[in-house]
Amino acid sequence: MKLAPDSVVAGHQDHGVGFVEVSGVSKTFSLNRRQNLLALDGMSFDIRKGELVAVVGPSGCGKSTLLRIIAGLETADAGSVRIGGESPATLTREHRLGVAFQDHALLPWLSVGDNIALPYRLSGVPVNRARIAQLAAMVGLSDFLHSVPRQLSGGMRQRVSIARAIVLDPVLLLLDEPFGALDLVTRRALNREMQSLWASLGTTTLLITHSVEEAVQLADRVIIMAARPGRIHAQFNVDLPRPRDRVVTDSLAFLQIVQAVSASLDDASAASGSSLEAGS
Amino acid sequence: MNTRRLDYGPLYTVFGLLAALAAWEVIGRSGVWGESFPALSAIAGAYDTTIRRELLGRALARTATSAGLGLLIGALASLLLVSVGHLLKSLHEGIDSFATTIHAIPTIAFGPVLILVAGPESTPVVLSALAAYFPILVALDSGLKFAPRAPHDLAAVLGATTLRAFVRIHFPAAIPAFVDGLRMAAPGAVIGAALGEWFGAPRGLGVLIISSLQNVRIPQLWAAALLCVACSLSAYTVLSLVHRWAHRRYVW
Repeated sequence: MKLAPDSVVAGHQDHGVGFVEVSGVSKTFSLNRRQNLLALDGMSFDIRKGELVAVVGPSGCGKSTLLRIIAGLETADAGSVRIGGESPATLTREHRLGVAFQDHALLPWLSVGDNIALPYRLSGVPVNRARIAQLAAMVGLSDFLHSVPRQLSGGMRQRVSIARAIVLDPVLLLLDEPFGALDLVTRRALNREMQSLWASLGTTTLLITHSVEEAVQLADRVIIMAARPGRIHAQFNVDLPRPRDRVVTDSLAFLQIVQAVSASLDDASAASGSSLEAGS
Repeated sequence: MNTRRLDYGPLYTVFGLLAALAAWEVIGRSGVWGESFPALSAIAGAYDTTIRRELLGRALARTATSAGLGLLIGALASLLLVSVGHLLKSLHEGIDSFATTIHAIPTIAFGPVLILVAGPESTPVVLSALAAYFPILVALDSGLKFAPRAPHDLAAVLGATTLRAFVRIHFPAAIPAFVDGLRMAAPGAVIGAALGEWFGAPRGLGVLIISSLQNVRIPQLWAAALLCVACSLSAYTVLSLVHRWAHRRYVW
């Protein structure tokens, strides 16, 4: 059996009513006076409420730029991003986005508990200690609430980072390669744990990753991007049962999807152009 | 057999210091650099009676107090200026130019004006603060500018106000740089205080240096100057320890 992508046309999407609606988003960076980089070219896709969408692509395909635009950290040159009908700036102002980066961005002078509490303090919402204790328990760090990040392993730091991202119960969770700096064993263990976490939360999530296996294991849908300019190359629905434990990830169906996504990713890399265009 | 290699570093330091002091003693005794360069043993003579020790001790206490106050005021002023510049971006450049211009005015030019405005008692503190604020300001400003990117982004996504992000992220991240600025400013604060005392302060190491000079009491002049150096170096050493602690706590 050979799996075909559900859609290969850039910009095409057929997922009904989107909670997150990315339409026609383009972004150009100027490298110098004569050269511009078209980082994103008319990206359009939707994310349904409660859906976990993973974006994979060759490095430099603009996937992090895409996340930064949805997070309101960058503005698109063209197109729009709507989250529940509102702009990223509105959601930011109302403290309704959650984010975790590859660089865990924990503050070294704060304990684990205070790092998880940081979103409360940054947004001026009274700290809910019970919620922090509950989240620390969910990510298996109850015994480390009073430790400082320096005393934790890389995997534990990323768990703190995830707990911090969800502490304010965001309507959209944005994860930019959160496990990218971890070794394979830790990464797989975290992927298994995070699944049950997401299953209990049901938070709409956009996950940027460069690991196809991680994308297929965690996501409801995988978007493959091609680079230069950044655009959608293909999309795959992942119709595998949950929880996706070892039995599922060792199954033929799982491996076939991984293979198909990998092949599509290779195509995307081959289809990626040279980065530069003449500036105006 | 012990195979661990000995660390000769501190040994070299002690040896180098002793060699320099010995050279000083020999040159001073030989008199090749004239009477104004006395031997160390002659300078030690300036401390040999209780009255002389009390005189030097009182002068040191006065200058150290002025320098400490100057450093504190300089630090608070820098903190205020840099924080305002950070929170109100439109003022940043103006504050920067203002601070640099003040710093560029020779301290000696302020002296006579300060005697009239602040009085001879306060002039050492003011000159000390003027000498101290600039390195602190520059260090704190770049500490804020080069705060790690990811926590900054996190604050932006969470919709933190500039003030909240400053209090929770940017300022704590800049504390090591701030202490570094304090450390660099400490010797300047001591020199500023001593200089301020030249403009008519009632006592202090600066006063002692001037009066020793006028009365040709060369060993006492050197004794006072060496106390200035000792004061600067102790402040620098203490602040270096604070800096090491701050670096461990606030930096990855």
